[in-house]
Amino acid sequence: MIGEAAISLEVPLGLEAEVARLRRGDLDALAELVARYQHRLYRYLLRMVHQPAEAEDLFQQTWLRVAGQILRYDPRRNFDAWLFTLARNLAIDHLRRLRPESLDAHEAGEYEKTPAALRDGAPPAIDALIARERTYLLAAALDDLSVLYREVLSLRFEEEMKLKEIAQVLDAPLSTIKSRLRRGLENLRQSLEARDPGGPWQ
Amino acid sequence: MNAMNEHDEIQRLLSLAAADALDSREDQRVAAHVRSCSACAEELRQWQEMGAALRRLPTPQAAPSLVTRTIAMAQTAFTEECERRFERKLLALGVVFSWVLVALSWPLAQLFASGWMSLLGVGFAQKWENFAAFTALCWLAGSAAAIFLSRYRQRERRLA
Repeated sequence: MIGEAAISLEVPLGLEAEVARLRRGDLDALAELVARYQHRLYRYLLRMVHQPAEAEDLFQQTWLRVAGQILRYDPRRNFDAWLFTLARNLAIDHLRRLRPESLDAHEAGEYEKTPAALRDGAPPAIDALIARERTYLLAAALDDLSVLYREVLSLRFEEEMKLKEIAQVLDAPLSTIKSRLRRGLENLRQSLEARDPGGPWQ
Repeated sequence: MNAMNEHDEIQRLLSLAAADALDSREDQRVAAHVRSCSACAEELRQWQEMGAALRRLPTPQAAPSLVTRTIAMAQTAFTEECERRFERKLLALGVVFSWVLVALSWPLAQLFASGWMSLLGVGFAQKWENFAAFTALCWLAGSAAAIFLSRYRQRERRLA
């Protein structure tokens, strides 16, 4: 029973069947897959490029790429990771073409910028932030992060991907993913403090 | 390792603990430390709340028209990809078939024209002009069939 529950959490019901049907040429399965991932994929692309029009264009391109490559897709691979890898590659190419400066991570530098209060471990009152429902502030702070951190946070917290899956999508070692996750969270907290200096988390 | 070093190290792990990104050993270390360190316990709670807030961020919705348009485009692209694969397979099959035909047909023609003994005769090698002409004929017939098939499929696709 426990095993069955674990499996049903690992693979969303019907996903494998939809992918298999699509690989056999069933066009309805493609429509079902697009519908299944519509909001998640669009959210991820929007987090990556910020502009709705660009995210829409990349959304279409991603599914065109799925249509072109699904027959070469290895069904033993995780479909989520495969799909988001296609989307990410398109988004990174797009950013590289239009806004190459947005891909500059300055990873080490950004960590150095971490405020003393954080490095010293002084706990900011994030609970107060949550209590006052500062959702807008949080979304804006997330959007202001470097794309490298933004995508890791989005994949971990919004897409609920495991670290291994994120590593597959980003084609990076697990240690890099953990490092980006930690720095992303710390930069996010720093950004929240900067947005509301008098806020309760000081 | 003194307690201060342990405290500093655990603090660096707290954000990852809130993101469920620690391995089991690190997880146990953090759990053991926060039981005895109220400052770290409080900070961990705050990171966890930030994680929860990130999970609760509203999901931007893809417009229904975008989804409909995307499905139509992707289905067309998928159909074309399937046709391309089918045509590539057909072409490969045609090439193999042509070679088999070339290899088999000349000895068979010889057999029907002159009987079993002609297959053993060395005269076969001396008639290379005939063999070359026959091969060219096979390839021409194959090419004509391929062109016909391709035009037929193009017309079918236009009608669809």
